[in-house]
Amino acid sequence: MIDRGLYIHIPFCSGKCYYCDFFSVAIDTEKLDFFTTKIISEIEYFSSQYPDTRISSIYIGGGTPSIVPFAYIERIVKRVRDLFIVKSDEFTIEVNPGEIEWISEYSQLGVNRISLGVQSLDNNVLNNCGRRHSRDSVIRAFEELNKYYKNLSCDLILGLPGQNATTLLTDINEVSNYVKHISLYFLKIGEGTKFDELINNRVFVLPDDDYLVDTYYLAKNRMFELGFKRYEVSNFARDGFESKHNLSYWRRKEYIGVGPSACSLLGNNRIQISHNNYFKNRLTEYAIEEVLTVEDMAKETVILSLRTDSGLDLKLFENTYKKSIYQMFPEAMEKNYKYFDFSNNNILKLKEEYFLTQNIVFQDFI
Amino acid sequence: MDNRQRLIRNFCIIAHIDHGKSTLADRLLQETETVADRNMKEQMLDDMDIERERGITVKLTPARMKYTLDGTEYTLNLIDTPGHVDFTYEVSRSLAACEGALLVVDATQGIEAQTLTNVYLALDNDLEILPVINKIDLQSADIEGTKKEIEDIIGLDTSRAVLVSAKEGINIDRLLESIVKELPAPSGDSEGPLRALIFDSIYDNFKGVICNVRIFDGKISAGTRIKMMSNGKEFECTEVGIFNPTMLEINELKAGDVGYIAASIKNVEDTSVGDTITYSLNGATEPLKGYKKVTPMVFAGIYPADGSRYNELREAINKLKLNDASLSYEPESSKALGFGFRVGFLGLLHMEIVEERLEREFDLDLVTTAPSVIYKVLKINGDEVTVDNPTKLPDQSTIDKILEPIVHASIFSPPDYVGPIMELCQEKRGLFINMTYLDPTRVHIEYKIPLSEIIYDFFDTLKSRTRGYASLDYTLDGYCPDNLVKVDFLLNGDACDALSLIVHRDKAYARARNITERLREAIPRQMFEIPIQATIGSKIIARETVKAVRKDVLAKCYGGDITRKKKLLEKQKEGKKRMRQFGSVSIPSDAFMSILKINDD
Repeated sequence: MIDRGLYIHIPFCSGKCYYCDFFSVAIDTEKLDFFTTKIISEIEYFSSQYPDTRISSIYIGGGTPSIVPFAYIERIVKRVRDLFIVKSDEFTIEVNPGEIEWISEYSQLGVNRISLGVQSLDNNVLNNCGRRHSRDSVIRAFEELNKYYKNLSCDLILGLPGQNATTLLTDINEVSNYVKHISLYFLKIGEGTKFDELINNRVFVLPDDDYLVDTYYLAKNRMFELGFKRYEVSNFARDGFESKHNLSYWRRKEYIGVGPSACSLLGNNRIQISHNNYFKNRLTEYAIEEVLTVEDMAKETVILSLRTDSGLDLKLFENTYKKSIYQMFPEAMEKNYKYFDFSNNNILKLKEEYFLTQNIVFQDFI
Repeated sequence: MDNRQRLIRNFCIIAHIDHGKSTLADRLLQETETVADRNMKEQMLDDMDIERERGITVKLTPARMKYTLDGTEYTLNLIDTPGHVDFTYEVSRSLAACEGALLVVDATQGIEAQTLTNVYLALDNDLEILPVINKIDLQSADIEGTKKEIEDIIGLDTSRAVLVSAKEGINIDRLLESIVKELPAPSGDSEGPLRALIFDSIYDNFKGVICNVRIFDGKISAGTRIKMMSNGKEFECTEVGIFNPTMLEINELKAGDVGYIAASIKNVEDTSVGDTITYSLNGATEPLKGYKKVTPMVFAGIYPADGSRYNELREAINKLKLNDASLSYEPESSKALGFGFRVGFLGLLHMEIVEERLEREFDLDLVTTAPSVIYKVLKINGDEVTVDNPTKLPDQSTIDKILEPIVHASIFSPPDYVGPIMELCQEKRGLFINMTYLDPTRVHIEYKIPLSEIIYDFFDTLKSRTRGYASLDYTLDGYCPDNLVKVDFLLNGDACDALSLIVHRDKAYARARNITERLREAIPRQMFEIPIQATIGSKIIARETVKAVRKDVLAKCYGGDITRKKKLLEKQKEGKKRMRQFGSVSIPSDAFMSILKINDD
């Protein structure tokens, strides 16, 4: 049996937030039936192709899974449980603060972790980015969720218009009363998003990198004081509450992804489900399969591991790829040695002062 | 002169830029039905994209026309020529192939700086000059005033001047008649040994080098064994033809004709413009008077933006040279830019055109260093060295004097702008020579100005300060010593040779500040802080800092993001390839370009 994570992408949203460049669709009964059926057929496909799978974690993301009537989610999860052995100590679903109708029911399915899309607690900031909830609804959602779940997480965004270091630190103080885990993302302006348009029209001005980085470190320190340790670029957790599902991505463990735009990593295959042609019948007709070479995998291992605070396990690397990182990437290692922390001879890490410029180092490994 | 020659006229059109030369050429082609109306495009002879886009003529272009007067059919060979000062060389080559010239003067503008230059060239070549006053349809046309200027300033009799409007097609028939009646027919012995002057050449992938020629003596057809008189190289002629205006093969070219010759010449170096072609056996003994070898005035390093394309750049320059005989170049290498060429140009426009042609016609991305002039350096030990690249300036301690080229600048302008013009010339270290009022609306100002100042945004500033009314021409006028210094630029402590420049000491600080600021803007932030320093010797005269990059990280990277992230990193890496690694600092190729842009000082 091989332990694999399972990601289920629920593409429905009640509206598009200004920063969002994910695939999402407006909700209606016909589409609910269509996508649910498709997702179930994909679950069936993977269970037949990879019968040796034991599901070690489940993550239902989106979109906004919490606006989907419970019965649909139930159908999907039931099918998973019918077809796979599920030994998941971690089962997460994403919830939007304004859309919490079915939160108590999720526990019936085995959900034990909730990720709440807070983004900010400042009404002005929320309004600026097109979120359809308010500070009050976030607090209400936390209070409600607290009744059913011990393991709460939330997302915050750094760099939103109207935000400053003070509002962000205040937000962190407040959410720390409820959550065990915080994801703090830098705002990214995706092409074609509403923000892209607003910035081009100079409605908003993007903050500069100095502000962003300084604020990131203020936030990181504040979270540390409150008991949250960073374990990946954007993820902070109280001890023992790191997301197992997400860590499996950075450790290049195998996973299955279903739903439009989801992705699977199975052995040396990466299968990206495209939302284009999603109406076609066979998964092979709308998914893109990438066959990875040993070198591809080694590169990915380096750049994914170095995102994490535990760094790259050099022994494990050598055992996996039969070459040391120095043999595999001599030039890149030589060129970038000054950016690495070599204090532990089994672990390779970026020095903290270069942690947020890691892409520049990674380019040499690609 | 035989009877056949009596029916040929070889002529060119000379004019100041924008006086309507190319439009007039278009009308002549239409009027003689050389080009059917439906095939007519504007600026027919300007077949380079750059020429059409900029509305200027860069290259001479020949065309043959048939014209019947009083029942007799004449062959008129027109060679279109460029008007800009930088392309004087092209003009002089066309002149050598002609017996006559149409001098086009815009009736609303009168005589301009390049009108005069071109007239003097034509007179040097003993051409018959026929004045043509253009744009007579415009309200502001001053025909009598223009005639008077031509008589007073040039000393040409204007009683035969033809008044035309090329745009409206007025009096084009009269002009054709005057061409036949006023311009001389060619002479030369068709039975004598061949003497054909190469006035231009292009490279054709199938036919090899194609030489545009004027036959002075003898005749040539496919099969004729020919020889290049300068190097003795022999070929068998494979095709002769005329410009109709596109190439049209014919049986034979004879004395007096303008046409082309192909002879499967594969090696670009075997032909040179200005050379004389003769027979292999019993050829002529004396070549035709060629051209004065032009001396380039402006030098710049040209490098491929992608260092690995050096060989392609070499090929491209070789081929371009064939079509632009004024181009001179030699390989050079730079610590910052790798392998490239030091190329000599006739002026800044020429430099721009060459860059653009290399990029367009040969699909190259180039990095060009700041243009420099040729300095003469007198060393303390008595040696004299010439320096066409600031990095080659000898050590300051060994230098007695640095001399720089001076030009005699001739500026024509309405009197209203005398103040701003003189102010500009003073700023540019000019020495006032003379000022004459040609008439109440026109003044001729003469200055001696260092050439280095002319190539540093002089023309653009002159145009903007005189709202486009002033025209400029200049000729080289010796060398003068001045207080010149070399400014070097250090990036992270390493000298960046491609940026060094020689400048007058009084201007060194301002230039250095300007360039260091531009460098700060153009160099992307890197993992570490980069000090940028400008120095004269060991003295730092300007300093800027590129701050270290703070953030280059992907906020989210989950299952589906990994492939995208790899693509993003690959793209960033691709972008890096276009950067020049300079010591520890990476500089994008276009950074050099933006530093060299001087217009927004």
